[in-house]
Amino acid sequence: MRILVVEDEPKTGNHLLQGLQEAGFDAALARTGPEGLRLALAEDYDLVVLDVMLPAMDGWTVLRTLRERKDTPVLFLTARDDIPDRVRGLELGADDYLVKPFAFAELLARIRTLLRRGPVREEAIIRIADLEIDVLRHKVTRAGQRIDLTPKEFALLHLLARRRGEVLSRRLIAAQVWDMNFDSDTNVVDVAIRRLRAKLDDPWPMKLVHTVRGIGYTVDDKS
Amino acid sequence: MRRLSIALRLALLFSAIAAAVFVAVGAYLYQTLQRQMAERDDVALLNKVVLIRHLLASQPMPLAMPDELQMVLENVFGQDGMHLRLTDAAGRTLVQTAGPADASVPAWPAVALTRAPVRADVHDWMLPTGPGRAIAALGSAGTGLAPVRITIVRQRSDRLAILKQYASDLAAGLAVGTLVATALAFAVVRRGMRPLHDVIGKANEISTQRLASRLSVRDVPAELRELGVAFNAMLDRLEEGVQRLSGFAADLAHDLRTPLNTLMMQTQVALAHPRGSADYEALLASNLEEYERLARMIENTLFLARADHAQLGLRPTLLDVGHELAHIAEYFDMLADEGGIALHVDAQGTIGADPILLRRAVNNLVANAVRHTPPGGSVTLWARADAQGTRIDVRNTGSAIAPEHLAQVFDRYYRADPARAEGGTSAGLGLAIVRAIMQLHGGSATAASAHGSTVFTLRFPAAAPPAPAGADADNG
Repeated sequence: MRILVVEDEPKTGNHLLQGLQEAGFDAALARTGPEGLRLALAEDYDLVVLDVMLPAMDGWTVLRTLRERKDTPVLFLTARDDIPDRVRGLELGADDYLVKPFAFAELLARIRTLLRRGPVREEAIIRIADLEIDVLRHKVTRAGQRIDLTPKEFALLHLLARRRGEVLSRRLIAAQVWDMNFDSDTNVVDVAIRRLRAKLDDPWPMKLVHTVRGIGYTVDDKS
Repeated sequence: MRRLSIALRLALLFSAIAAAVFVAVGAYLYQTLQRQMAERDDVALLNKVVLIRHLLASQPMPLAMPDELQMVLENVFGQDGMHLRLTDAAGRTLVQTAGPADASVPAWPAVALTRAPVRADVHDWMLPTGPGRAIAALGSAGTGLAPVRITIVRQRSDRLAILKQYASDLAAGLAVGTLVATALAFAVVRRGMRPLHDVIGKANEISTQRLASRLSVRDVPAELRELGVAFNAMLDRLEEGVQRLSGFAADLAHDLRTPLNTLMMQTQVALAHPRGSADYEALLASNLEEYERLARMIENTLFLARADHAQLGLRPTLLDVGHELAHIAEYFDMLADEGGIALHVDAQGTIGADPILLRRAVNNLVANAVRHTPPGGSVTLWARADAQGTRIDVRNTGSAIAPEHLAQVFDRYYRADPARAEGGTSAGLGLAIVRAIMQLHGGSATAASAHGSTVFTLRFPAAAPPAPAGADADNG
């Protein structure tokens, strides 16, 4: 998957590039608006990550000009989260946005969502190592043994398993599982993860729920 | 008219009133003068008739010396602009003085010899030179002789000239008087408005550095007192707001220092010696936690700033309180369970509120309650709706808040107990956000604490007109 990053701030640009490459993307970096526009038009990228505060040519102009010719998905980054700014970006044809400062995991999650867009195939049964989740029946087993989860624990596990390998931030988890769409400043997610682990991981030597310190949680077979 | 100054407007009004009064008085005086002059004219005529009658009575008849008499009469009548004619019973003119009244006078019934002439006997008569008055009377010319008819005509032109002059004098006086009254009124009004200028001067003196200055309401006229009091109240509010704001800025800067200090310290210590990658990893993760804390502080501060400027678009929706509170309780369920706290919901009714903001406010209260409830305690979410609106209580058992702190718990960065600084999790803005959200909804947030339990109460005003369905269809 090829991603173009248009970002003028040197450190941010370099780290975005590095992070995306390490996440397995074929990423390129443009440091100015005109260069970004030229690259986006000349090459076939699967996604453009566009900072809107750019010298010479701002992100809005880049976005408008790009949209006249191409439908490459665009995720824009902004430091201003007032509603007019967000609306403007989306009206100009951007597909999603993130407000600075954002968690890199969040950016990765959004990028993956954008790239996945289209018919989302919902698996009826998710298998990770010896874990089996029957989504329709809300049944979870490990090595054939039934594990009883509360509805919220199940929702949490289902979210993590559905996006296995992705590190999900606490905020994203709170929003998806409890519909709390703001920073609630509590350790509810940590408690929930602890309880899930107690039932899912503690009895077995192989752990499936992993903490990524400072970022969030992920479910994966890391053996 | 709207843009004229009050002084000018009042002065103009005054001058209009003065002009109207002057015109009325002038007209009245003119009328009076005119009437008096007419009366005097007529009285003079009547006197002349009496005089002639007297004269005739002393003359031998037939008139012996019409020529001498003529001369005497010419002198007497000519000066007064009068014209006299004496005719005998046959209609022959006996004596006639020179004058304008050559035209023959109609044959008015003459005043009989037996009575003295009165004003009613005087007739209007148009002379070629202008309007005049005339009278006819009989005079006895000796015993046994037929009476003589006396006709006196008098022109009024000289009196009219005086009246004309009087009218123009009056008009001039009126104009000058009106001008003077206007000028005086303007000056007086300006003077009367001086307290207003004092208010303006005071207002100009006020800046954010000098908000302490107030109007002295005691020396101000009654009309301006209310303005002065309102003005002072406004200054009070402004001063409080500015103080709160500058205090807030100081608190914010102060609170930013703590995570920044941690970041600098731990990074410097780590860089001072070469270390293993595990150490670096731990450092970076620790840094990340501080960064997130900073980001959260900025986000909350921005939220409050926008709430203060009412920039947050409010989307009030009619919500079921029971459903909303149960939803929030579900979120805290595990956390409460973990802390050995019982979580109860007892809520009924509906509420007109922005769903996301309501959730955020209650969430902050419950997070606060759970944090301060000892194991074995309980947190209760209670709500009822009545005609006044909807009330939501979040009650928790455990250490009470001292009364002197209750009023301030909703202040930004206020911590009832400095030692209980929550290890930097909640940056002291949670309850301030609750209050801001309630203010946006036109409601209130209060706290009460007694007998080992604390209640935070949110009061929402009676449901505003329900928002159209789908107005909340936004990911917010």
